[in-house]
Amino acid sequence: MRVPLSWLRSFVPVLPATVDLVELLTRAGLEVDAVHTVGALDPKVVVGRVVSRTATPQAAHFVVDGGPGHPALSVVSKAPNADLFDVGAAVALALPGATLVDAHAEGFATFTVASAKVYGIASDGVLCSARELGVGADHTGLHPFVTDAPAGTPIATVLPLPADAEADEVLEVAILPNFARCLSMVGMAREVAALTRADGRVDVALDPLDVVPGPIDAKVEARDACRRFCTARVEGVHVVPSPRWMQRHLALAGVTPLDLLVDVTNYCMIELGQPMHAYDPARLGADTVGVRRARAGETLRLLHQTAEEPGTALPEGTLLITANDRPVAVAGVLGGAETGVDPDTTAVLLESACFDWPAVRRSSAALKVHTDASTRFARGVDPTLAPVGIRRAVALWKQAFPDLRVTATGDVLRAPIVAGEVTFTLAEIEGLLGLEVGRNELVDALAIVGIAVRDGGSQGLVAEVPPGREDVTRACDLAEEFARITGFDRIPETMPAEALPFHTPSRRYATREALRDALVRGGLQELITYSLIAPDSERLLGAEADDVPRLRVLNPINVHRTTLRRTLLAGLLDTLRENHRHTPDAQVFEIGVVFLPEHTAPGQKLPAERLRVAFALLGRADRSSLHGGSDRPVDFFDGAAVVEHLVRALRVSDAVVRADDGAPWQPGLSASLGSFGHFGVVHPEVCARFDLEGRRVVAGEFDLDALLDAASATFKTVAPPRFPALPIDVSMFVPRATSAASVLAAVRGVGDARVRAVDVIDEFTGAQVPEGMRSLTVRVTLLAPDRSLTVAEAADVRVAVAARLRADVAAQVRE
Amino acid sequence: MSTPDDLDLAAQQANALQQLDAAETSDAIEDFYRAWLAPSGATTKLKRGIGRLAPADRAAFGKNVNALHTLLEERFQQRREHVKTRELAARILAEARDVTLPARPRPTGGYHPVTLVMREVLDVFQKMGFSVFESPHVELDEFNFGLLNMPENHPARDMQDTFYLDTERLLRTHTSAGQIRAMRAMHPNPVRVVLPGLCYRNENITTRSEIQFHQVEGLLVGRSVRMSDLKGVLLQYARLLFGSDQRVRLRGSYFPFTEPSVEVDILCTLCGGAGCRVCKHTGWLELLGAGMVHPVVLANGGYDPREWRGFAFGMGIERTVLQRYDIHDIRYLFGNDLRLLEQFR
Repeated sequence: MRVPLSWLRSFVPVLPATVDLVELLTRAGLEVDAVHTVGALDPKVVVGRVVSRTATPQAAHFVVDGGPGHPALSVVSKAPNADLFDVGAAVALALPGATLVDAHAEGFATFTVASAKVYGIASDGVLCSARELGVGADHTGLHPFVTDAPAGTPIATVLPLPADAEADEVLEVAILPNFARCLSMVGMAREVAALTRADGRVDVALDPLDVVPGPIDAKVEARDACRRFCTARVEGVHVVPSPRWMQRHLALAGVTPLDLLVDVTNYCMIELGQPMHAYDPARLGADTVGVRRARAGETLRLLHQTAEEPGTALPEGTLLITANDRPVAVAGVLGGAETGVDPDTTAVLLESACFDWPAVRRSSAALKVHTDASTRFARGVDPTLAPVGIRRAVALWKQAFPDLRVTATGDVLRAPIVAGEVTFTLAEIEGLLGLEVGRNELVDALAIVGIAVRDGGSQGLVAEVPPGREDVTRACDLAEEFARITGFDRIPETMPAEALPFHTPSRRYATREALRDALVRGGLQELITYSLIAPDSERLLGAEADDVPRLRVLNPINVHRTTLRRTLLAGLLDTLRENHRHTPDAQVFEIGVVFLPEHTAPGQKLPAERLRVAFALLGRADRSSLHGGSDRPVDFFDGAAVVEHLVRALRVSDAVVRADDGAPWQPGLSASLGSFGHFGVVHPEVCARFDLEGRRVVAGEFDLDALLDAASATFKTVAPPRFPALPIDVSMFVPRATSAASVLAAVRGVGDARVRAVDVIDEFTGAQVPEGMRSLTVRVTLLAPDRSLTVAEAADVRVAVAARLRADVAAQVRE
Repeated sequence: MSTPDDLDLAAQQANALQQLDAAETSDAIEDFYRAWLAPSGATTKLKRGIGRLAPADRAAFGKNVNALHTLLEERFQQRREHVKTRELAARILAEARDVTLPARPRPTGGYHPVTLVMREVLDVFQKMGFSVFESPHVELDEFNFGLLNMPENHPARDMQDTFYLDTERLLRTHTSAGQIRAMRAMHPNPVRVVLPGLCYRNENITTRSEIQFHQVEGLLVGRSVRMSDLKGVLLQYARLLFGSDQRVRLRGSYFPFTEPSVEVDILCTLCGGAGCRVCKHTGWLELLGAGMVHPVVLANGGYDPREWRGFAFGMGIERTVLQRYDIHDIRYLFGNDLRLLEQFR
């Protein structure tokens, strides 16, 4: 809502300083997003001092001191009186960006000053006339004035503003849904009056409609969507330009002035908040109109559509205004192109209605048309305003057409309009706010916003809420009004006075965060990617069938964000794709949710959301530098290290790594971790599909919910040994297909308590190794809690281990 | 009385001291020790030679040998100290490097900045007794809107552009969607929870707006909860996070699920209230939206509004991230440009 302060001042003559008004409104829930200024009130219009003046054939070339930052501006002026301004004279200088009144426009218009070349000379400002400054009508030359103020002083502090000044300030106020009443100047004025405790009532001068010869019988069929429908037939009018003051208020409020007939309806809408529409009865072909819902297949050419355009299809059920049953307007949204005012109009049928917001919202959404009218109806319009709008419009027209006659009116009301009542107690208000509230204080504060409070006997108090304040239905609404009017600052700061539940730590949450810490400690960079993806990017993985169930949004923002992800891996690979050119080494991870509709719990409507953790490594595992080191690229075992780190961080005891092929992994270089997920080298073809051709990516993705289920809360330590450990190394040839895991299992299978640890410490394949075999060396660490072990004991264990290896994994143990 | 040549202590002493003076390295020093002072060294041999002397000379000789041993031991210690000091000095000189050369690279990980801020916020609220309650990303229209006092076609739905999956299901537009779930889970006990999580809005992606963002919702329901408690709790939060001189300011606002509704400002964390670019010269920064839980919402959560009251607040995380780290484009956050993220290592 754009609020020209001159318009506001016509209701509340004394306003606080603009900066204070902005603060006052913002704190009361009417946030001022911007303040626009015009003419002499624009801070970019300043006192300039002429530094030099040079006559050119067409104009005067000034150099002007515009104050700090603009010591010597070049400005060209064509004003006939330019030669009266000598060195040192004061001029009204508009700097680039300033908004001035356009002196050349037919009606009221503004323009923004920009640097330009005039007759080939740079001109970085405008020297203003009184008309451009909005301080007078004169545009015959530069506005002369005398001042001691230094250059750069805002002109507003120097020039007196006459009462009818066109210089203005316009507040741009964000109107929240419960402030529908403030989508009008009167509503804003009432709010400002309440907040500033201004005296007097904010009201609009209205003439009585004394001529009502024959009622208009509007056929309101859709009563469920139309609370009130007022009409008036006004004769003796025709199309002329609106008076300049009206054009100015409309333009500053953001509405383009057209002609007096249309402008008055817009003026009333902005002034009162009552949208109206003027039909030409001659073009309507009827003396009355109707209100009904659209039938299937109906169309209407809307106001903004040309004769060549086909009409807009009206969805069935759209609330319409009709004439002779033919659609002539979308109720509360927009009129038709063929029945509005035109240059031949001599009479209008004025519609001023109160449509229910659901109907207008539906029409507006279905047709994707949002107008000043629909914005107001969509939030609710005060039903008492409909006849007021007609009276106000007639009064305004009458100023131009003294012979105007109202020949018929109509008012169809669905039900009598009654004031709302809220029964409440003072204690309720006090309890909600945490503030002691005096009864008189409450009554006074609510009276300011038009809510009367009376005694309700044993029930407490009763608030009488005027129509148009349908947001006030409960004690809490009254508490808000009271706090808004008297200031939220009065509410003290306290702590809850009752026993409340303590913080209950969630182990799941804590464990998840501990894992995040562990992965960061492990050298990985955390990512947060989009939950919405293009399914094609997941299909590139080739891990799931193309027709796997996916959740698509009905209204995606673009083709890249259409579908809820089923994996984190695609997002990580997309990130590597975007980054690898400038960041060739990347070790990243993400903890996030995936959406698996097929796992929806029986009887539930919401899809399964599973927490996952995924990682991806690209480029070098180590980075050399001038201090040496290697540039070893990442390989499978770097991925295995991340997995080991992850398993250890969660203290999952039964997560077994097994060779496991399948998309998107490279066969022979991938594995499963229990049933938690997979990791390995990403298949070269998959890399290529993510524009990572020739790069090796090692990655993994795991079901974090399942891992958290399996995570141990705590664990038991082993005391450090008091006696030295005795390692024995056993080298052997094993068949190539025999896994290291099975070799280790065989050694542990000896079941000797002295075997404290078993590790593979060497792998070798080469000329000396028999065909189909490989050489492995395992280190068996022996330990006893109560003594140093002897070499003889070690030899015994070695014999047992060798026997076991021969038996279990067909090893040829080397002596 | 004659003394064999090899027992001429004066000559031996001269010989030994010459050797010691010639020893320039730790190894040479140790060689000297072995030659003269070790149990198998020359002084021991001299002591053994005592038998070849006349009995009358023996006492004096023994005394002199001991004196020689003591002298050599003393000089040996001095010399060893001297050589060690010289060697250390030489080593230090040799090891000196240009310490302004770049460091050796060391792999380090880093958190996403959203995690950093989210954790900070949750930590403070957990210290203040709030428990973490998480709710689903895909929500029923009913929980996201309807039960929060926003029936179909409610004007407040204009405030949030929603991604719909179908007529019933949507991506939650705010963590407030979890309020009803939290209340129903806690009923009939009082509630003190924070609900963190990712939310979604169907908005154009620009430097200031994204289709996903993180929120933290707070919900406190009890029998005597007041708006002054909301103010006090948020003041406490601001002080724990930003310092003991913080202040809070309430402004009127509107949310369908709270009444009264307010915006809560804190003193600008950059200028401390003096006014600067970040706070647009107002001295205040918008912290969050809040209010007293609407009676309809309390009832939908299972709490009789005649007996229970509550407050709720909801804050965005990304705005703080952008402000704190001077990031001028929100798209960096989920676009995951590693050149930006790696600065958080």
